Amino acid sequence: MSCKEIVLKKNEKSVLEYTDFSDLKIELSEGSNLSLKLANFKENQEIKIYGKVGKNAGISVVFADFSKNFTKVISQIDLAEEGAFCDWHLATLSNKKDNKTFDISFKHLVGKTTSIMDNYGVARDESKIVFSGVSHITEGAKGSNAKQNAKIIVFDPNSQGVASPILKIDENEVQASHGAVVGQLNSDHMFYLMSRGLTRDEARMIITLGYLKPVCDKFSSETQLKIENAIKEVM
Amino acid sequence: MSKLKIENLFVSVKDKEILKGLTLEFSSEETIALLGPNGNGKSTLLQTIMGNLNYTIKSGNIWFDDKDITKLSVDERSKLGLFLGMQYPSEVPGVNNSDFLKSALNAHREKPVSLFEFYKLINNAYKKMHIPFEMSTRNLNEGFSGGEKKKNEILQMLILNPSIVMLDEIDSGLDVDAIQIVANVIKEEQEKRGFLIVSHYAKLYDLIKIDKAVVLVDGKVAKVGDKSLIKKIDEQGYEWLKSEGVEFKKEEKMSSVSIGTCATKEALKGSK
Repeated sequence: MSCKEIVLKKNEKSVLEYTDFSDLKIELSEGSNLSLKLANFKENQEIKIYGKVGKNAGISVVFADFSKNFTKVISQIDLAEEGAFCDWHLATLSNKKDNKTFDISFKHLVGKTTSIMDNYGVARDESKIVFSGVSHITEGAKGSNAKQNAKIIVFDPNSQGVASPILKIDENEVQASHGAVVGQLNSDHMFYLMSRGLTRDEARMIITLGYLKPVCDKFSSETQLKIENAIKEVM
Repeated sequence: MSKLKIENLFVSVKDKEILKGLTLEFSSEETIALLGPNGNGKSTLLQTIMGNLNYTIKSGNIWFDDKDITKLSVDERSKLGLFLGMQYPSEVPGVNNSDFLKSALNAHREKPVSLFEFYKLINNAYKKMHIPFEMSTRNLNEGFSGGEKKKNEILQMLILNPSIVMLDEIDSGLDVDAIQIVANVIKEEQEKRGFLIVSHYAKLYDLIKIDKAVVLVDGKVAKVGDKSLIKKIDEQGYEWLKSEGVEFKKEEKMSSVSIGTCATKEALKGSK
């Protein structure tokens, strides 16, 4: 599949939603703003995303991944000029023997740039989810802000979750935070829902939907329906 | 009429025995006040009846009518008509309150509830509990105050219509007005279902009808009485029960070593 190129001119605003994509190249000029919604339902895919964000420009990415088997996503967003901003939210669900890696990186090339990353995953059966990548605040990028948040719920004894995003900071006077959690379903939540009559499967389903909801809610109703069906199929 | 019978129940949590041969029986036409000092098994009993797997039944049985429910799953117990209003209701992120209520309600029915019927039902319940209807769109207990969570428990009870309701310290975290609201609803509902209510305060018990007061000490029923027993405990505490031959559990010995520096000293002492 060919590479999609998204170029926004000065102060241009755009909302784009894709359910069929592989490689994306994004370039945002000064003051522009892109809301990019990506939903992936394919099998055995390697996706590469490269973005360059200009002065006071911003990109907001919501990525819902319900792909199958092998998936590798490599994303590199360069915050190239002052005031550049990227807000990244990813939700993924894996089952059977899926093996999914998400390498999500940001490079703060100049000062006063911001990157916010939230990655959420649910791994079932013998599947594996890996969240990696580097948020790099380079030398000279004073006043930058990088946040990384990665959470994976492992459902079954043989499910695997690895959350190891890295912060690399080569400048003082910056803000950076980092959180990574891999854990099982909260047994108190399960007991609470089941005490109201929901079966184990129904409770797991409702918790998973709730967990992935913040990302899935951002899509058009047509894609949301596809997402809901994809979740039901896996659960 | 439904009947719940607990027969010589021994329950442990992480190998620590909490319930030590507890026997209790009551029906959906009664309200029982369950009292007892902290850590003597009240919450353990309620959680065990509801089927929480963190509580291991070593021996004994729980009967609901003529059915042995000791090995039933939590949801099956709920479907039979048991309800537990929790002491610490869970906050479940991302789960919308009304979606959850609908799923829970449908779990108790053969045919899914119609949108109109559901709306009518929850609208009435929210009004009864004096909870703003807008809260139905919020996530389940997420960001709720302590009092809001407790009122939300009673609201769920109204919607699920159980025959036997267990309430674990439902009055903690409620302000004066909220206690009155909860008490009024319980009073109204006492006609329709049985209650097993744990509270440390006489206030809630004063506001509702109580058929029996049961005191748990050291994992067993130590005393059974009427409403006057609650009054006596409220005024005098539990110590007087000792003079009636009730044995309290022995205080666990604190370890003589509690912090690292002391542990080092103790270890050095030992080596001399």
